Amino acid sequence: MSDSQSRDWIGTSIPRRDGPDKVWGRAIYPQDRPLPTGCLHAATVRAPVACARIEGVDVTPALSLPGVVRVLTANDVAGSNRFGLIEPDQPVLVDTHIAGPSDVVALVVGTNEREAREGARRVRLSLANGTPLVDPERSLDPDAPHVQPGRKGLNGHPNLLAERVVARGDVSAAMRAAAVVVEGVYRSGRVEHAFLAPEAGIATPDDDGGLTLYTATQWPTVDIQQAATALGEPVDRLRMVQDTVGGAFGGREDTSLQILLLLAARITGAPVRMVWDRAESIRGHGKRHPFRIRHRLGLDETGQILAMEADVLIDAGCYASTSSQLLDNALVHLCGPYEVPNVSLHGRAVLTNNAFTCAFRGFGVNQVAFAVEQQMNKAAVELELSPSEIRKRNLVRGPAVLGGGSRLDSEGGLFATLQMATDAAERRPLPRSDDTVAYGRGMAVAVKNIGFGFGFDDSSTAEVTLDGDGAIVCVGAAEVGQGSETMLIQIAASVLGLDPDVVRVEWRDTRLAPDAGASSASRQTVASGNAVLGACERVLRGVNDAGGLENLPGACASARFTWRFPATTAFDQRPALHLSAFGWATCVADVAVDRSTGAVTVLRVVNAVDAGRVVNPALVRGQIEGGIVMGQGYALQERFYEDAGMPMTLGFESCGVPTALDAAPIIEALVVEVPEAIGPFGARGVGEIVMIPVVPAISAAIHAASGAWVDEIPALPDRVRAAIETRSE
Amino acid sequence: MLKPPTETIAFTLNGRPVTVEADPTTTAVDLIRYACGLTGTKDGCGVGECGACTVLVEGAPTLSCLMLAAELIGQHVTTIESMDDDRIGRMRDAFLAESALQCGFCTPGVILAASRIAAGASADEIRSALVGNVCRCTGYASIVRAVQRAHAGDLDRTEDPRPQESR
Repeated sequence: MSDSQSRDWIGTSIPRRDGPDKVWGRAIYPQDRPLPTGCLHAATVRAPVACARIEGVDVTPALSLPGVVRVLTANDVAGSNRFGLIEPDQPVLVDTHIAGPSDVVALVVGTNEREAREGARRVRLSLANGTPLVDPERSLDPDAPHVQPGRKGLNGHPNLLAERVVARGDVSAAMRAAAVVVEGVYRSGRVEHAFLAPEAGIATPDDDGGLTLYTATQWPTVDIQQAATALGEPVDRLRMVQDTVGGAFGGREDTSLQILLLLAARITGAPVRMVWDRAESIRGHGKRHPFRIRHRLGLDETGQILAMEADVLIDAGCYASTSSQLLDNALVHLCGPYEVPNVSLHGRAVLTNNAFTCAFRGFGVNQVAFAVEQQMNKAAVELELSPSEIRKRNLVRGPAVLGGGSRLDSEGGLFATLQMATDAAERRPLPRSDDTVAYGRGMAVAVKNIGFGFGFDDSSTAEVTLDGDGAIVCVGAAEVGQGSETMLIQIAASVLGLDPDVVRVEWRDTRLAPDAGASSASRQTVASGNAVLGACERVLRGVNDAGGLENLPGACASARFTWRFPATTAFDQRPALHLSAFGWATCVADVAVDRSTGAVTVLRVVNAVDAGRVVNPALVRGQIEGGIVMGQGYALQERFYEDAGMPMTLGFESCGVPTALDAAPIIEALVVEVPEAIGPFGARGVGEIVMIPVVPAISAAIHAASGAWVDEIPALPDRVRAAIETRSE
Repeated sequence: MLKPPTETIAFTLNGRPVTVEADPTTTAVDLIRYACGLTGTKDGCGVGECGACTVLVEGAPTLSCLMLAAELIGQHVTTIESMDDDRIGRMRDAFLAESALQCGFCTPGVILAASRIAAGASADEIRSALVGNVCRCTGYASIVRAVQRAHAGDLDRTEDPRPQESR
């Protein structure tokens, strides 16, 4: 790949390219962009309830304010007025029915932010309130209200979004033959992404009749496509410029204020700015999916898995978003990284009037990993095997088929992560438990896909231009904080034999940077890394063919390359090649449980992750450390309370976002480097896998300390105390 | 419409005297960001829960979203754009050296709060001092290392690489 004279930058912690701007406070996030001349300000009128029919919208009290310019309602939307990543079921501005708390009924545009907000308060809604459907277990009842009136639904159920079945072998016979059958019901709640920068943006009319939107997102191309359809705009008249993205974690995968801003700029003919406050940010974007999983695991007396049987119910909330694909992903991972000969899985995603759910670091795998790993840890206790021994007897070895489906060629560094994490953990003994505090250690393993899979044409395109001064890499891969910009610079510098200082990545402007797909599914290292690698190789070939850069017109070489993930198949197609790459990890956690209060403190987390060949060790370490603490939050303290579908936890503290004092004082980020077959230089994406084993490892540690299994996350103190008391009764 | 009353707010910002006419209900974070144009100070929650708006008032880390602009009158205010505060400068270098940032939105507030942690503080003391600054990306581990690194004093100071006028 890189020629013999070039310096290989792969495996070096070059400084983050965005670092200086960020430590000097110079990075421009959407809320920092200077106001264009004549800029107007928008404010939303949000649904005051989660379920209602709209009988009237009176905008006159708002228009009577001198600073209010326009009040936009559904009648002002020229296109379909609908958007959504998989199916367009979400209204830009609600026309007839409010389905959930994120709905926007009107948009007030004013000469300043204060006037726009005051105008929004004055818009009067006449609503016929319905009874919100908030319990997913009731969603498919024959008399359940329809969350989206008029929706056809699936299999005769208007609230059924997706249903999937996996069946292989003979589960009944295997369960009868099993020496041990472990049964459990596992629950997990909604979780807020809590990225630090709330949604913000400015849309401006261009001289050529188009519109430019300055904002922060995970996938600009698809935001623009959705906006074009919803607003009836030709897609080529819409341009997006990415300002610095203040965190995402999946919460910026669905569009939020993008379409509203473009609508307001089109109708007023003026630049329009909108900045959401924290409470509106939490109301306005999706949440992690709550799961209820009934799981049965059958093993023989040696600890060999014979069968798994599971029923999954996902509360998708009020809109489809990507929930149907998340269900597919969850089912494929529902048997964990284990060989399971007999499988019977059933999963449904249902609509409720609760907050809609969307991608969130792990995409459905976190919830099923919690269930499966807890089951395996329970089985280990019952069979008196160590947690690592029961796993060694069952971990998948490629080529194989994951229990829930999908062929995999290799188990990567799975066994190595298990060994490394358990060895590292043993180097520090646990403190001795006493009457008040009990200490325990727990472990878990995890697998997580890289790339979207399931038949989606998943690609990234890069265009590289090399001249005597250096190289410009145009690729629309959203730098959301994960470090993709720096990683891509390292790949380009290595292939082209340049110093990273003379390589620049243009990722922000859709007019300049080709579509790289989303910064989602841990995919940019593999997808855009390969696209950049391929484009750089083409550039080098062009230079070689010409006998040197100086022989090319303008002493400049340019090439474009599109890299595609290997073809995958849809969930129900055979043979099942749902996913083409995976990440692997093992986590060991040490906790202290206060016997009287049930409060859990995480003392230490060891997390060993197969990162393939590491491009930038400091960036990978940052992902592992950040994933550990996000996992701690999910396991122990992050909650999202709703009342009649309306969110009640509208701040960092009430959502339980971890602080520096919640983070484990000892965090050991370990890396295994087994090259990924399809990764550039063998690299793997690690953005999600780093978090997934943390939750079940902490849960196992709580059991090891207290003897209680807490089968619902977050394991808040009252839940832990109740589990301890139930056990001692 | 009545013209809202304004108040004259004179204070020292990063060593320079500034005078701004502002609505007395303006918050300090809005005054700094919009009237003074220093957008390095972030507004992450508006209610004092995240610490992204941290500035130094008379050298003390302060949540500017919980302050009225008028409370700045006569005060010395330091923001992330400050060029002559040695402790902030050392902290910037350490954050870069330890890769203690990802999305970067919390970073200005974290650096300002961290810059006033006494040298020799233990890891636990550092984490306690930063409990009001939420970071969703890093897991705080690299931030603690960066503060320790700044205190170790082994880094060469770097200058702001950009010319003055673009700041």
